[in-house]
Amino acid sequence: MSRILVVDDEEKIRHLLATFLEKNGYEVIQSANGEEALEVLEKDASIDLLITDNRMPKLTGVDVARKLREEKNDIPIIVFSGSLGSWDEIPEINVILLKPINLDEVLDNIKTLLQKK
Amino acid sequence: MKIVSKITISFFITGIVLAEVIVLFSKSEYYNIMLYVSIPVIAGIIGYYIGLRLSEPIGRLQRALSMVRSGNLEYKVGDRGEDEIGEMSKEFNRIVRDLKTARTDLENMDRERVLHEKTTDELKEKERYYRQLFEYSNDAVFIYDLDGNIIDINDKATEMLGYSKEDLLKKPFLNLHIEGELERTKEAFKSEKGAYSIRFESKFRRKDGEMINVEISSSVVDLKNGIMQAIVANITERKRLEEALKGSEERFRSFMENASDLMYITDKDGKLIYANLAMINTLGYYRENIIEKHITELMDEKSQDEYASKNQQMIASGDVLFEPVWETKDRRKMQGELRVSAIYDDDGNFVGSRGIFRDISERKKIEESQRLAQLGRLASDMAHEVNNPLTVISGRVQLFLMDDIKDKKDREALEIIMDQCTVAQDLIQRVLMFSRPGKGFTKEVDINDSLEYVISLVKNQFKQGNIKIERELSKKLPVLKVDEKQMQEVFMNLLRNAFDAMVEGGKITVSSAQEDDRVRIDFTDTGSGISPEDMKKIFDPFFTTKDNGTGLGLSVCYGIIKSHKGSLVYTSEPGKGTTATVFLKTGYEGH
Repeated sequence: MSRILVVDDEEKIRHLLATFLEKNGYEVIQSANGEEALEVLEKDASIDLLITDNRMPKLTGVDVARKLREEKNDIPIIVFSGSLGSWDEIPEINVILLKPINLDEVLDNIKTLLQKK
Repeated sequence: MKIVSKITISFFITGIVLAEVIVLFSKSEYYNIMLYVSIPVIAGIIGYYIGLRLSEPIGRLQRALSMVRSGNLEYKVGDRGEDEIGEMSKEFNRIVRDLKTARTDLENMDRERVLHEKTTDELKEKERYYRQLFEYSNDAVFIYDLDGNIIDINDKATEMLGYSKEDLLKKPFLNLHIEGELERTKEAFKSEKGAYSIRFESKFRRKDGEMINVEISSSVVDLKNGIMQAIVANITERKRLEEALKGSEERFRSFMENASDLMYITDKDGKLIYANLAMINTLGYYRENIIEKHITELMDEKSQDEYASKNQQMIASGDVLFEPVWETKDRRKMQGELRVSAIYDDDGNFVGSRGIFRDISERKKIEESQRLAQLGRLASDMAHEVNNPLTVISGRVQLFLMDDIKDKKDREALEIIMDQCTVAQDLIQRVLMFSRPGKGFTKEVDINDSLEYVISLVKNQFKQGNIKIERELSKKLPVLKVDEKQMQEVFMNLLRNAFDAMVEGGKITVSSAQEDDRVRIDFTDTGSGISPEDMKKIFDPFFTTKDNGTGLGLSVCYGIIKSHKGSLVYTSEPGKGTTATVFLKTGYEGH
């Protein structure tokens, strides 16, 4: 069973995503912010995919992705964003999804990314 | 003792002597006494008689003398015959006559002398008077001969030139002119040949080297002796002021000429007497054609009426501000802010007005984009806030639907919620696109391909609506780096708007062309057009004239084009049609 880390400071969205993914047969670990997510990923190497909101206090989703890539961590990353940003400057992110979140879209992308893996 | 007495006594004594002689010779006594008495008496009487005869003319002469002495030279002694006394009388009369002549001469001489003295005094007085006129003249006065040698000057001349009188008297008058001016002065004299007086301006050099401007009024005062007079006024200060005034006028003129605002001056009736370059160029007239025009001839009809009432207000209060619509020579309209100020003369009479007109369409544009940006921020904040709860709602519904819901009606209700959430999410997506669209994913795109693609999507719909699509696509368009999907959305929206404007059919012309460093895409329809009131709001989110419109189409287009650093312009003539124009920069590389 694939393990997915869901990161969002918005608890309701995080829970929604977690529930949805669990219903679709994934094991979900949740983090409320970027710092926490990095700690979790450091301790637990068995996590298969990271899905995170971009707009969060302190570390954003893009910041988290950048740190991971700097550490040569090639875990698949999906980032949600409220708007199209300046994509040129960002690190290698596998998928960027525009809000509002479309759950089917999320599931499709997760499936694709995990298959590649 | 009088002559009569003397003669009488002399005769009497002579008688006595005679009587003695007779007595001596006669020897008679009787006779003696008789003789002694009678002869002296008779001699005395004879002497008296002779004395009287002698003294009478002498007395006359004496009286005449005393008359003459008393000044009466008219008196004449009577003619007494040829004797000595007569001669004497004549001589006397001659003397008196001579005396009279002499006295007349003397009197004449005296009178002349007095007269002469008086004249001399008067002359002296006059000379002093004229000398004073000469000396106290406010201007320098030079008297010189025809050769230019200075004969006389007044103090003012020495003061003006800084030379002593002696120095100046040695100088030829013409040499006072500075180099170059001398020739002009000679010319001035030559050209006025035959005239007895000329007036001209020249320049003098003072002893200290300083140059002064002078006005010379020169005239011949004595032609016979060749005497000329020059009255020289120092006009240096006046010249300086004139120059300063000229300079100041020049400055103000160039200030006005170079101003970007339209500036004009009218007379009291409102006829233009001056219009600056900006005004002439903007309104498309030649200067000579705009002058004399009434200011209202340059305005549209509505503004003409407004001007009439504002004009009254301006004359009364001195100043008025309003926003007329100007009409250019080629009948284009232009709105802006006009400030008209009254011009009054020294007596406070209204003599004209000056106006400054500012074309505020640029400012309006900036205000408009600021307003849209503000609206965008508001909309995007709203969208973000709504996004999360909406995501939770729709997500939760989706989770429900994943379960096996037995009740058909429950499932239907959940599906409706789901559907409506999608509608709401779509709206939010559009709002975000309007307010903060990112460049998205740009790639090199042939705009013509995008246009053809979008046209292919709407072709059937247009055909059904009896709308003809015409293409005027340039074959030499450069490739642009844009977000293709966003561009297609823009083109789609613009076509859809055109379609909606042509309820009864018509024609849409889609054209593309390169203009300098940008690509221009026009969508021209023959639809109902946009009223000026609506035109102000077409880019506002949620503004719509359609029954089922969201009011987001054009705002999204605006946002997308803006994020590509391009511009979207709508021009429309109500009843005739609308043109939507997209400008995209060719050098744009995304951001």
